[in-house]
This record gives sequence, structure tokens and C-alpha cells, in this order.
Amino acid sequence: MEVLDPQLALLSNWEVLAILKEEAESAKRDVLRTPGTQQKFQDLKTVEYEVISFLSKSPCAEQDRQSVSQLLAKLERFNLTKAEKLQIINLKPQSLIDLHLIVEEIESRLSDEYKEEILRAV
Amino acid sequence: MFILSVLRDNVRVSPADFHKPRSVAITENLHFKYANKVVHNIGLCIRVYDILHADDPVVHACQDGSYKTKVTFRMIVFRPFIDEVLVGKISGSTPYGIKVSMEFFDDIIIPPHRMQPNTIYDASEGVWVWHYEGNELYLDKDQQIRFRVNQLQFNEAGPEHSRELLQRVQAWSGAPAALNSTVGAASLGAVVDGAAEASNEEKIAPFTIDGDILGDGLGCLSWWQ
Repeated sequence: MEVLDPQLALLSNWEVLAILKEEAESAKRDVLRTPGTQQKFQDLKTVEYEVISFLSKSPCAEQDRQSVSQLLAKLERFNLTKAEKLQIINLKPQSLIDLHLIVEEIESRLSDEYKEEILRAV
Repeated sequence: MFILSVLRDNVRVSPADFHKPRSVAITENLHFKYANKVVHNIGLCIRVYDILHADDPVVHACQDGSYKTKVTFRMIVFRPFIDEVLVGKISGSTPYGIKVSMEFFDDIIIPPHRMQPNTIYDASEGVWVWHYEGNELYLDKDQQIRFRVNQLQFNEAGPEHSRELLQRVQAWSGAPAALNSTVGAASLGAVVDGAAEASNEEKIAPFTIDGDILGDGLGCLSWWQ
């Protein structure tokens, strides 16, 4: 086994939730899977169930492609790093303190009114 | 929280699965091997995202008739980056730190030096308490907690025990671990118990995350609302 690229891309939580839900749906409809192999997939089912359960309780449960691309468009002008934008999408900060946690050196980069704008956009 | 990794591996498909489309058979094999498992220095594998390329299969006609093929595929992996802010639930507290769980991943620990200053362990109740401006803020079990990722640790499972590994075992089990796992008991029952205890103490998760709750906005969600 070799690793060709340890980190090809970052995935946001809503993307992973969407993928997992879709796969769970198609697995239910899948007629090719014979009953005898169910035990073989216990690990997969366990981890998928737990991840879906965890993510469904997080802010990403209500997100979809459209709302996220709208949010990204609004965040464009603030010169945020990829990691910061990803965290804003995943965590949906509701207050100034939350925003301070996500954006580094926020005082020098964003004025108060920018901060308010970001909070409104979320 | 999640990343996409590109891996390459050999997959062997047995004749029982020949009726399935090749991509399905290969994907199922990969899931059996990787789902919910930690790949060293990569992270916790969730599921296969897609298959990029599968080489021409080589059939082992003289064995059981299965074919082997080299597959390049993309995998969804849980691997937070350093300084990422995550939300989890407190699953337990020991004098060595707070254990946090994220349902699919349980090996997160917040050591004492990474908590807010003035956080003290209350041995009678078994919880950590933050004494802040005259208030006592408890870090109870099952509370939602926001923490920042400080360090990712990939541990190799091996027979040797370095001092560092032992310290981490201590932190997890909440009890001093024995340096030598020799058991000098007479009865078989005691030997079996001793061996089981030694192996319990020696078990260390392959992938652990060190978190910190030192900072505004970190710690229990209820504190900042």
C-alpha cells in the first residue's frame, strides 16, 4: 500500500454528510448485495452511522451546495485563508468570540464592521 | 475536519464476487480493509470517495481463481489540521486530562496544562472545575465542548515501550502503568488476570489528538452563550 497524496483536498462537513447520506440511500436499494456479506461491512456501517449521526447535529446539517456557495461569494472580499473559510462554513460562528477563534490576528485584518458583516452572512 | 487522500493498493477479488460490476467488487474490498481504520500518518479512513484507476487484473488460475489488481483510489479521511476548532462531547475526566469524544472518534484528550488557568481536578466528583472570577464552572460529562487541535499523534503499535508512550498510557487509563509486565503470581487465575491487565495498560490508540481549551471561546459551549 502506498500513499500517493496524503492531502489532495479539504472536504467540508456538509459535503461529507451529503456523500454519506447518498451512499446509505443507494446501499438500501442495492439488490446485488447478498445477505451473507452483511457482517463484512460492519466497520463501514458503524463509522458511517456515527459520522452521519455526529454531523447531523452540527450546523452543517442544514447546508447545501447553494447556500454554501452564496456564503463563499460573500466572504470573498475579506481575504480569508482557505482554512478560515472552511471553518466558518463548518462552525457557523454566531458571535464575535467565535469569529475571533477562527480568524487569526483578526484585529489587524478586519475592522468591526467587516466582522459584523461576516456574522450576518453566515 | 475531513480530507481526501489518494492511496494505491493491491486488491484481490474472489470468484464469489465476479457477478458484481468490477468497481463495486473493488470498492467493497477496499471498504473491508480500510473503513474505520487508521492509516499511519494519514488519519482515520471513513470510506472510499472514488476509484481513479484500476490496472489490468492478474488472474491466479492455479490458486482459487481470484484476480488481483492494483488500484489507485481516493479516500475520505478524518484528519483535522493543527489549530482547527472542533466541537465534541466530554466522555470522561481523569487527573491527567479530559477525554473528549466525537462519536466516530474517541481518542481526544485535553491535558491539564492546556486548560484555562485555575482549572482544578475535583477528585471527589471526578471532574475538572474552572475557578473563574469567583464562579465554579464544571466540565461535566456529556457536555458539549469546543476545543482547538494542538497536536496529532500517530502511535506505532509495537512491543517496545518508550517513556513517552507510557506517559500517554497513563493519561488514558488514569493509573500508573507498569514498566515491566512481569507477573509473579502462583495461581493460573492471577496470571491470566495479570496478563490481561498488562495488555489493557499497554493498549494505545493508533491515532490520538491533543486538544486545548486555553483561550476565549473555547471550553464548554454553555460558558460562552
